[in-house]
Amino acid sequence: MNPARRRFLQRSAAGTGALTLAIVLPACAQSDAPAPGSAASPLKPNAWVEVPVGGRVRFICGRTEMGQGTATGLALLLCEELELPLAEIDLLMAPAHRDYDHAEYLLQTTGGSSSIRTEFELMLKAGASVRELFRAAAAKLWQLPAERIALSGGRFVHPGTGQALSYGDLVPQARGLSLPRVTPRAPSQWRQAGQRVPRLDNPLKATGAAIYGIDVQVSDMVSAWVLHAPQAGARAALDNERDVLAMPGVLQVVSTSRGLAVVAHKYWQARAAGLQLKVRWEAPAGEPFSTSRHLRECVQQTQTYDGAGIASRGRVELGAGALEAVYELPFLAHATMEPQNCTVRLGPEVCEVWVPTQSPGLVVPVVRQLTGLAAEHIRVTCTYLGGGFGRRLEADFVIEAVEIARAFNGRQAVKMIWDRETDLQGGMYRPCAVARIRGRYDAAQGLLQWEQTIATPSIMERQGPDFMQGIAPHWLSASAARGVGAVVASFIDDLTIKEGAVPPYRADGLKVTWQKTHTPLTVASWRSVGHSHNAFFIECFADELAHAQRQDPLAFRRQMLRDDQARLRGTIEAVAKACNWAAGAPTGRFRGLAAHESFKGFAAMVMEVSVDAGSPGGVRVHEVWCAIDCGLPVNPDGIAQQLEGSVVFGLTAALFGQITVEDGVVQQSNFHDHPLLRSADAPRVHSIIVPSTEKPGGVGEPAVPLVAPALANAVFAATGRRVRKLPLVAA
Amino acid sequence: MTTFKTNGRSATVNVPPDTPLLWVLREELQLPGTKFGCGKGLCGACTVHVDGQPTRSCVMPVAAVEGRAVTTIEGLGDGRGGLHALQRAWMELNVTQCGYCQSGQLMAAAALVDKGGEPTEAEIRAAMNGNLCRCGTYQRVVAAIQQASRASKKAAA
Repeated sequence: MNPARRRFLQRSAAGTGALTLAIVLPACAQSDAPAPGSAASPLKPNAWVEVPVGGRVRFICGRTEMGQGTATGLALLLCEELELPLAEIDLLMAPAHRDYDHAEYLLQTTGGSSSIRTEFELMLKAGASVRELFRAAAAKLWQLPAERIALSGGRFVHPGTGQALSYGDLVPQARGLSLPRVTPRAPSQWRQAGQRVPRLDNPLKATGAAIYGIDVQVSDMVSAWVLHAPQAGARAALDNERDVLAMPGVLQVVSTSRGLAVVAHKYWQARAAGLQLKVRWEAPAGEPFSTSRHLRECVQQTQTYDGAGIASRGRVELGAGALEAVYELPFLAHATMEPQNCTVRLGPEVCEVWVPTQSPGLVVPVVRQLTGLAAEHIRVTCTYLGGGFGRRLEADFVIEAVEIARAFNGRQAVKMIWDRETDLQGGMYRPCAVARIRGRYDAAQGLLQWEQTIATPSIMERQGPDFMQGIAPHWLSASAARGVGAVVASFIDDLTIKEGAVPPYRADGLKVTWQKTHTPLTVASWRSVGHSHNAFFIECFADELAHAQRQDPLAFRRQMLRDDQARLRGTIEAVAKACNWAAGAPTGRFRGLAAHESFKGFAAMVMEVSVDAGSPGGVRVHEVWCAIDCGLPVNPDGIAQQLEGSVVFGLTAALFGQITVEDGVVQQSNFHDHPLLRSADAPRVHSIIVPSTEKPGGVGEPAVPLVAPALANAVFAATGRRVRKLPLVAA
Repeated sequence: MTTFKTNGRSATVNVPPDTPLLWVLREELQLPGTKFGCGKGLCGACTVHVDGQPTRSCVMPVAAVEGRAVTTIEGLGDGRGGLHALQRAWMELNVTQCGYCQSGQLMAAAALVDKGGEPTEAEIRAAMNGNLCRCGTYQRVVAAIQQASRASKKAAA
């Protein structure tokens, strides 16, 4: 039996017992009080569906909803097979539980634009088998053959009397019946999936009722404001602890591994007191880090073009007429609108955690490591996320909250909230990267030579050991899990360097290498990860090669895309058609093109700009066309939302995004010196979904890597100036 | 002690006068729909109405709203217990993504729509320029405001 099938059956068999630890937030559906297994308790035929007696069907979403719309997409698939209108299902966030481990990443986490791709069949099968279970329940009730019972509008209908019963009505009869194996229908038969639908989270989010981590309210709760050391490892000497402790509501000042926490009854009290802290930081030994110096060193070191092999084809022969370019990309912060936060009640026997996280499966082992509690005594409730973008894959803020909660020994729950300054400066950042590329292109002959070296740190080196704690069985010690993770990571430390690092073009000679760099900053996944570097390097250089041959950038792609790039070619043609590339931009407007595959999504983008001294970077971005082939579209309007959002997210990075460090200290602190794109500067985005019947691929990330190169290429078209260093607007 | 109206009801709170209104709403009055984003009046996530004017509650000392009327997302509606035309447009057009900034977006938008008229796209973007959205919902925010403006005008006619 294949592992996915085995997991499916295990989780289906888990029945009502599997989720007795489920803690449901008040603003989501209420969990019923009756003891599991009693006649009044909800029926839970598998890990994803729960039906209360007489109530609405609940979808327990094992993937994190951080805005990307995956809860709606997955529910749509489930409802398709339940033959239940989407509006009639309630959405619950799954707690941390191994039932919800990611099929490929092997821990409960959400990232890599993978949720629909990896749970597409799972949701359809889960829905189909629950549907037939309830049809059998109706057959039992009515003493009829199941095949005579039709479903209409989510109700099972008696063929004679016309009586219509809901899933909730049939819970008593369904109890005890075994879950059948059912083959889902073909997508060509779909009624809801593939259509434009309202998001499931619309009603809560349009009324302010959605509960994020920062909104968690539990009994006996106190709040913590934190101050991090300006340089990791700096030690704090607090001059006025007594004064701060005397301020209204203040309970304690707690030392943490990252600095200090002021805990008070209310957050506003903790914050007011915290802002009065007089702290002297003892700088750690050694020369303080500087990003400007680091980038200069990276540029220097790429001159040799050597490094670890990423890809190689033939022999690169440059000769006369070769072009060379150096591209520089900065560290980037995620800057989720909801600052990091976490609520913890840590008692002697049980630890409860309420947290907006992409990785519930990492929270459990991290808390276990800190507290020594067994995994079954660690209860993790997941809230909505005010943005994720990779930042909330990490558990550093959980560790800090546990350290603070420890001082309260279970008497009180502690809600820790980071200030925006702490959030931007306490980041785990998209690594900086420098690429040096040289190449030779002969448009007439269609001959291309390409040599590229990338200087950037490894993300996996740290993430491997960290995430292995969530992958390993939770009884395994943290140090053993981390040890295994370190070994695995040593073999795949180039995982995020490789992704998208090879040009999709037909090169007779190709060589791509990696020069591993080291920085004291912690580097992490940032929406589209390595692709966010690689697409910029490749698509900008391709544009340079084409222009050097006086070739149209679209013509370059048509001529040079490899034969195995049919789907990428399809999106390029789709975007060219949508913007009428052949007709050219209107007078005074200029266009840039980029295309790239990532996370099994193929995307192409045209950006249209004009020169405008009043706009950021001197260019106004007017229109963006973005085409994606993400396989079979499940939730088309959700796809369009992701393309629109990717453009804004990518433009923020390309225009303003950077984290710089001087004398060891992060220079940015809030939205005045770390701006985000605003409405008046945001372009109109035209989304094009290329029809496909291929298996679903990724959506949330694939358009992000295109934004910077499409912009840079448009700026060149407009001004003749090459943008090889981002951000465009120097701070 | 500071006394003011929130969403039509009188409230009295006993906090230092310089306490930001945001935290009074969230922690003293249990109205968590208004969000903390930056604490410096830079992002708009904390936007509420004070006497109908969109206001950054994170930098508004509570003493400054003494005797005034504060409306939060929890109090946004059509005045008859139903949703505001904007909230309906928001749902119909699938505006929201992570949703965290949306309370602030909605309150800023409501101040614009409630003035009446049909603002142009440029006017809407100018009015909404103080409200940051990391997910990039801007173009749907514009579309929803246009739709709600038309709906409100029709209802008023």
